[in-house]
Amino acid sequence: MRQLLRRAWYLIRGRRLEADLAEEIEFHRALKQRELEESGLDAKAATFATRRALGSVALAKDRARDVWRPRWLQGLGQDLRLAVRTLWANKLVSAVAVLSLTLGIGANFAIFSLINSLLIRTLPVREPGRLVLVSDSGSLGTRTWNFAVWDQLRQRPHLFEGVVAWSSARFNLASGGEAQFVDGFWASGSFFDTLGVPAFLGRSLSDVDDRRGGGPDGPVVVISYSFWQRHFAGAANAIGHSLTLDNVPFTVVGVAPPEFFGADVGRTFDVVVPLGDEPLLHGRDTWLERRDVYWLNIMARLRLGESLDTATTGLRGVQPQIREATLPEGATGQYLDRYLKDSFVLVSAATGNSGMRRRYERALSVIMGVVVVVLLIACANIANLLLARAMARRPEFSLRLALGASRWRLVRQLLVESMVLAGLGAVFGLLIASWGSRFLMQQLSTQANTVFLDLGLDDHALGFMVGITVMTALLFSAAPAFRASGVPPMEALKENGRVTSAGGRFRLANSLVVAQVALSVVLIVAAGLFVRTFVSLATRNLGFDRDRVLMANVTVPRSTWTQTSACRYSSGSVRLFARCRESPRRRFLW
Amino acid sequence: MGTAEASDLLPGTLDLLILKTLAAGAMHGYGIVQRLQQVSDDVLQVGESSLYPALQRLLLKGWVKAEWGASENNRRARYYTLTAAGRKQLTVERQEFDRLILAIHKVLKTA
Repeated sequence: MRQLLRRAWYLIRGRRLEADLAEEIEFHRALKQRELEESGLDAKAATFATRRALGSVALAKDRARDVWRPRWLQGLGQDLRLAVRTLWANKLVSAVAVLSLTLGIGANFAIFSLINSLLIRTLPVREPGRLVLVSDSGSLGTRTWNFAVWDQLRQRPHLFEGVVAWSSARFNLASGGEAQFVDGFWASGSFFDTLGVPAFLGRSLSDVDDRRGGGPDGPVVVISYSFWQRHFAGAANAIGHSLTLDNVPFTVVGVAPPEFFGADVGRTFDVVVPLGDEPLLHGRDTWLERRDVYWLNIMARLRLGESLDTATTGLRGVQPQIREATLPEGATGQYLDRYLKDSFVLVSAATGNSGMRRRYERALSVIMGVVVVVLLIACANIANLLLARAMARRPEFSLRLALGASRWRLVRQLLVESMVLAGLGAVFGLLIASWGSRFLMQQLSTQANTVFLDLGLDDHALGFMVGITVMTALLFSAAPAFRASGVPPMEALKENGRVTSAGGRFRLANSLVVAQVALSVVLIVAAGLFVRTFVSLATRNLGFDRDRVLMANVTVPRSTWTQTSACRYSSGSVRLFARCRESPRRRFLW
Repeated sequence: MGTAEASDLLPGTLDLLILKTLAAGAMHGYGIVQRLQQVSDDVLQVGESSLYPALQRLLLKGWVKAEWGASENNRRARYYTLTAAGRKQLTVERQEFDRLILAIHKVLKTA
């Protein structure tokens, strides 16, 4: 490590230190010469004798330099400077190249960010590898359960290190007037502790909060970091504040860490409410009692070193009891048989739970393929441009070869130029991508369902970015580099060095053009189909005139829902409807 | 009696010799060469193209440090001194060297 620092120091102070070395060697030489002169040689003879005795100064300097930087690194700075100058001298070509790379790399990275956050990234919790989803072997592969099953599972703590249940929901923040919805989820008291997500501020939920009807602190809620910033402006005294959800007052007890978005990939949350508080909101119609409502996702954390199979075996051991205790009301015949027979399945859940995943996996991989083709076309394009330029630079190359540069050195020069181009493309591409992937994410969101994906850079994204940049650079520089290394050094000596072997260049360029056209045709057809589908979706005839039609939803807080209020509500709606009908210029559809 | 250029020596030996020479006190490049020659009765003659790369190597490893100072005849000269790490390295390399020589001796005696 210290050595690396010293090396870096040398790189920065290189010139100064080399001057030091030169002075030192000069000093050495002077002393040696004096010694020889004192022994009786005349000045001239002493100079020669010194040289003979001490060997080559240039060699000494070279070797000393080799100590500090490896051979292959030397001259890389020169190459880089030359590359920047050459690219700057051909502004138009460079600009076109950077632009196409920006679009190509940007599109790839935008789609990859979506794929990464939806399919690859693990949950931002402690040891996500040990998390499993409790699922079902039935034909539907159910992933949701009723409260009775959850109740049975949490009464058997020997099965797993911990088990949690949650269910997404929306809550109305407003206590009257226009509804103001926030995203959230019901969570079991064990949720934060089992996932290993500490509170950013205050405390997280505990099992006592999960008691039916609220714990000792009454109904409590944990809010997300972004909600804390939005709603409380990040104030520290937000803890202890009251928050009205569906007309029930809750106390804020904690703020979740910024990177935590819940266990559902594709969603985020504003509030987390203990499952036990559900009856407060849903009143007599509580889902805690209903066996026909499958609303809970159940996730478990395996014990350290325990395999998925042993955990599954353990779970299936108690399966009959659980099934027996949670029989759906009034189930008979075939349905009952199936309910008893379907066995529990554990699915690895390191990447979380997501309904979006199944929906978009195919589409995303298709689009990924398309953008890769776009990038390939860009590569072919740039390769062609560079090939033309390499042709014009033949005299330069052959002169360098004639002066003793190795072919590898010329190839390296071209590679460095390509890297600079690709690097610029990558930087701009990153900017485009961060905007583009956010835009795509917003397009996927609907009013009732906010899609959220954590699109931040992580190891995978950075690796992909670097990988694709290097691959691109290699791809489009291969042809020109191959050409350049084939220049005969003799060419520089001839006056019209350019005329030779031009045929080869055109052959290569022609095949590039053919590849480009072929890829473009595929792409145009694909893009055409995409647009066609989109247009037909957007203009589909719904069977009625969509012009000037509005949709209105009326939300009734379920906690106050009773027989009489239902009647009042419906008569109220009728009145509302009647009032609207009276207004002459609007027509309503009931 | 023949003389030995540094390149004829066993690898690593030059570093060891420089470290040992510097253990006596700060010295500039020329001084090191003179001293090696003197102590070895003119057997060891070190050329610039071996000495200065070796010194740079030792600098890089942090075993010696260099400072500019005035020489005997009032010219600017770079003086090398042993660091604590260098002193430790000297004993290590010395043991290594002794072991190597012993091994070579053994081979020469039996063969």
